[in-house]
This record gives sequence, structure tokens and C-alpha cells, in this order.
Amino acid sequence: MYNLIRKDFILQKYLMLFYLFIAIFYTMTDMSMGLIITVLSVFFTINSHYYDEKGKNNVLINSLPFSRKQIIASKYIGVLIFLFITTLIIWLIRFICQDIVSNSMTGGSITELLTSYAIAILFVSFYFPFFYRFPNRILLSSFSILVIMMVALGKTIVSRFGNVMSDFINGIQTFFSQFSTTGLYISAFVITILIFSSSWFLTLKIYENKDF
Amino acid sequence: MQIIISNNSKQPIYEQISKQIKQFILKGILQEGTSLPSIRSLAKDLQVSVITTKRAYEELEREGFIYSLVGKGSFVSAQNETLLKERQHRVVEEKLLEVIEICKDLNVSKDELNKMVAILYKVDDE
Amino acid sequence: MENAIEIKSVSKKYKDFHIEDLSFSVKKGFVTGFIGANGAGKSTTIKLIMNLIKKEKGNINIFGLDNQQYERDIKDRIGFVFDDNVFYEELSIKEMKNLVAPTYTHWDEELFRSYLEKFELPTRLKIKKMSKGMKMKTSLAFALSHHADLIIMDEPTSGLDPVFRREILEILYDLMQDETKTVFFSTHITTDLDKIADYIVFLQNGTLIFHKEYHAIAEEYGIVKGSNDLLDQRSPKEFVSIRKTSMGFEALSKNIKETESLYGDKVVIEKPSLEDIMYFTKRGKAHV
Repeated sequence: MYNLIRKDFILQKYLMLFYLFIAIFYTMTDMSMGLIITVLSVFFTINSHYYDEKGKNNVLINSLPFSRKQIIASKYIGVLIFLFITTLIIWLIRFICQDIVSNSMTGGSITELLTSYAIAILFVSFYFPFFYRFPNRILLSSFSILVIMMVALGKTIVSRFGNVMSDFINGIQTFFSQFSTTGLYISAFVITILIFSSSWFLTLKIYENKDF
Repeated sequence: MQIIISNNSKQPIYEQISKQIKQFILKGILQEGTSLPSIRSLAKDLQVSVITTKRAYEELEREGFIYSLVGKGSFVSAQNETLLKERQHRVVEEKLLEVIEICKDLNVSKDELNKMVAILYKVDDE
Repeated sequence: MENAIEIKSVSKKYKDFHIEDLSFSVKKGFVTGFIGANGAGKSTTIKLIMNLIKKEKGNINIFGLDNQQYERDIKDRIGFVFDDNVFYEELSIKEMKNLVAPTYTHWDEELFRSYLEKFELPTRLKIKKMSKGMKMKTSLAFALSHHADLIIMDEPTSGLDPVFRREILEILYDLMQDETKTVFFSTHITTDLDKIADYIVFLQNGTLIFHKEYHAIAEEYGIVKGSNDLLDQRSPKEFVSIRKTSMGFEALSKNIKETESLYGDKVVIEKPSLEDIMYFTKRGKAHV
């Protein structure tokens, strides 16, 4: 299975440069670390699925000595590994850029990181079962374009809808402030894990019944 | 031992092979005890399927020209004249017994059978 | 274990086509050719064997093991060639190799390089830039480079020039020196099968027409030619189908001994090519 994960990374070899560029660029322009991580993970997820669905690559992977279980496992674990590596690299970038950029960079708190992981994981949990079940080319491309647009216009969206969003976020924060912080974290953690595992299980069932 | 096969002949390739090997044995070109190429290497050299050489060897073995040892290969059997004739006769006798059974079944007399043999032999020579 | 592949009562239904209760085996140590018209179900069968398609009923055993339960171990020993390119188009052969090689236990780097050289394949060219022939040769190089016990190919030589097809046959002749190796391939180029197939499996409309030793076919089947007046209302039951013209008829008999005893020398009986068999069998179903 190591080879499968390695494959997903190798296939995105050149995209990795693009990811790096985005990481550096947005770090410089003071976007929060968590957001960058989430965005890059979304890219990674979409592409790792895309390359396998393209052409007849499915036939290739399923003709090589892998079980369908391993193939799906590599997808889910691959994203987790990507999250981990991205965190390290961005942290490294920030460390290096500390002296170059005058204003101190926002974010980097544990909360932020965990939230970004949670969002990335929730995204993956939705993405994989949905797009393995409905691998419609058009749906896939339009979704990817949507995501790219959102990233590109990220800053604009935030500033435009800044007020609405901060009210919304404040509302959420007020709601959650009712509960104890630890309890909150634990439940969020547990729920995310549950959703991730169910998604994995579901995708596996979908994939095992596929004909190539 | 050189074997030449014709892809265009009516005769199946396995027959061509076994006939040629038979000739070599009868003429003494292939001496008793000589080891024959394995069915697989022969198939590769002649560029035919393995089942073709397998058939050829099976026929040769059935007629007593060669014998096979598991794991060792195939070898030319001792071919003294009498033994050879005996072997060949035995093969024919087996078939004749079958034919005679059928004749008895269908009420074909010995004379009729002899006449048929005479005619068929002539046809075969044409 | 005598059979490399054993298919028992396998069924798979599609909208307008189905494979029903299909059973046959592929003998270890031999070359089995797989013939049938387009749409007969050859590719489907091969995909069922490779577990790329889920069977609805039946059993498939490869090397004596269930092909779903022991999928990984089995595929480690299979070299495959499909008729469409399945490799990542964006990668070069070298990059593909880096992906594929580590997945096989017995990958032989030297062997792979010798095939690349022999097939004159460029290692750094992107696969999408290769001609169809080159893509096919690439598939073949991969399939032959990990000491697979079973080579499965779906139309491996379509689109390849005759000279290269001869070279592939030579590689197969070489491969068959090892009695533990098995080859199973589907093809339209029946002349290739004439040269190397030990057994033939003939599929039509998802049904097995026959599975025979190659030479047995010419012993049982024959093209029968004669004048039309020989045919009365009931055509002989061993005639698979008949083609009548004003000059006479041509038929495929599946029991030439019967035909001979029936017609004697009033007809000409010729050795049938695999193409003849496919042609007349298809007609046979159409005119029933």
C-alpha cells in the first residue's frame, strides 16, 4: 500500500510545485495557515481521485497486485499524510519568512490547525464516496473549477462578505461558548473521526462493487 | 536430426514430424538410446505449438519408436527388425480386432472385409 | 495444479448482452487462444478473470486459488496486456516503471531493460506521445518483466505490423520452454493462433461454443463443398451452417467422419481455418 500512496504523490509531482507556490504566496500575503492547509488538501484530494479516474487508469491499478481495500485505504491515508507534510512545510516557510515579512503572521494556533484538519477531513469524507459513486466527468470538472475559483477569489470573498461572515462566525462561537472547551474539542474530534471512518467504509463498499 | 515441415501440406504438422523421426530411426540415422530434443525445445525450433510436438512424440511412443522417462526426456527405442515389426503388428492387430467386432455386429463377412481391405489399400496408395 | 485458470458456471448480465453459465479451463504450461467475434464476450471474460468486473454467479480459480480472495497473490503472478492503453498518459516509461516495479515481488529490471531495447522503446517519452504500436509494446514489456506465471492478453497484436507480431510469437515460443508458464490471449488474428496455440476457446454471444485442443479441431471440423442436389430438405445435423450459391454449396461440418460416411467422395472436405469456423458458426446462429 505504500506504493499506492507513493503513486498518488508521484503523479502530482509537478502539481506539488504549484502547491508550494500557493503556500509561499499566501503565507506572504498573510493568509491564515489553517486555510492554506485546507485549500491545498482539497486540491490534493481532487487530483488524487482525478488521475485514477482518467482514461483507463482504474484498469491498471486494479490489474496490479493490489486489493480494492488497499486502493481505497491509500486514498484516505494519503490525504492524512499530505495534511501532515503540508503542515510541516508551511510551518517551515513561516519560520524562514519570519524575518522577511515585516508584520507578524496571524494564526498558527493549535485550534486553527485542528479546525483546518477537521474541515479537510470533512471535505474528503464527502468527496470520495460521492465522486466514486458518481464519477461524472462534467460534475468532476465543474467542481474542480469551482474550488479553484474560490481559492483564487478567496481574499475577495472574505473582504466582500466580511461582515456577514464575521457575524456568522461570531454566532457560531457564541453558540459553542456555552459548552466546555475540552468537551467541545473531544466531541468535534470524535465526530470527525466517525464521519471519516464511515466515509472510508462507504467508499470501500462503493469501490468494491464497481466494474471497470 | 533435421526436420523440415511444410505449413501448406495437407498432412497435419504433428504427422509430418513423427513420420520424419520414424524414418530416421528406421534408417538407423537415430541410433537406439539417442536422446531426442524435449517437446518444448523442438516446438521452439520448428516454431510450432507445444501440443504439436507433444502429439508427434505421443504417436511415436505409441508405435514403439521412442520411450519417455519422467524428468529425463524421450529416447529412441531399440529397433531390431523383429521387435519393430512386432510392435507395428500389435498396433494393427488392436485396430483389426476392433474392426472385426464391428463386422460381426453388422454381419459383414470375413470375405467382404478382405475385399474392403484390398480396395482401401489401393486407394491409400493413390 | 493442472489448470492455470478455471472458470465454473460464471454469469454476468448486461443490458443487451449476457454471459450465462460459462465454464472452461486454461491448462497450465500451454498457450490457449481465445476467439470470437467482436462483442462475443472475450474482453468481458478476461475482465472477469482479472476481477475487474464483478461476476454475479460462479467461481473463478487462478492457480487453484479463488480470484477474489487471493487477488493480490494472484495478480503478483499475472502479466497483463489490454487492448487499450491503461498506463498513465502523462508519465514516461521510466516514471511508469518506478510506479509499477515495486508492486511486483519478482520484478526483473535487467529483463525489462532488455525488452525496452529489443522493442526500441524510448524511456523518457511521455506515453501519450507514443503511437498505438509503441503503447502495445510498452504493455508487453511490463507484462513480461516480472516472471509472471500467467500471461493474459486481450488483442495484444492488433495494430502491430506483421514483423513485430512474428517477434512476439518468438518471445512466446521462448516463454513456453518453461512448462510452468501459461499464456491466454484473445485475438482476431487467427493466423497467429495457427502458429502457436495449443488449445482454442471459442466464444459467441457470451456462450462457449467449444474448448478444444488445436489439432482436434481439424480432425472434427471441415469445410464441405458439393453440388446443391446433395442437400435435401433436412440438412445434416452436423452441418453448422450452409452457404448456397448457384454453383453449389459450402458448409461447415463439425463431424467430418459422419459427413464422409454420408457423402463419400461426392463432396470435397477441406481443413477449416479458425476464421471459417467463426464465420460459419455465426451464420449458423443467425439463420436458425
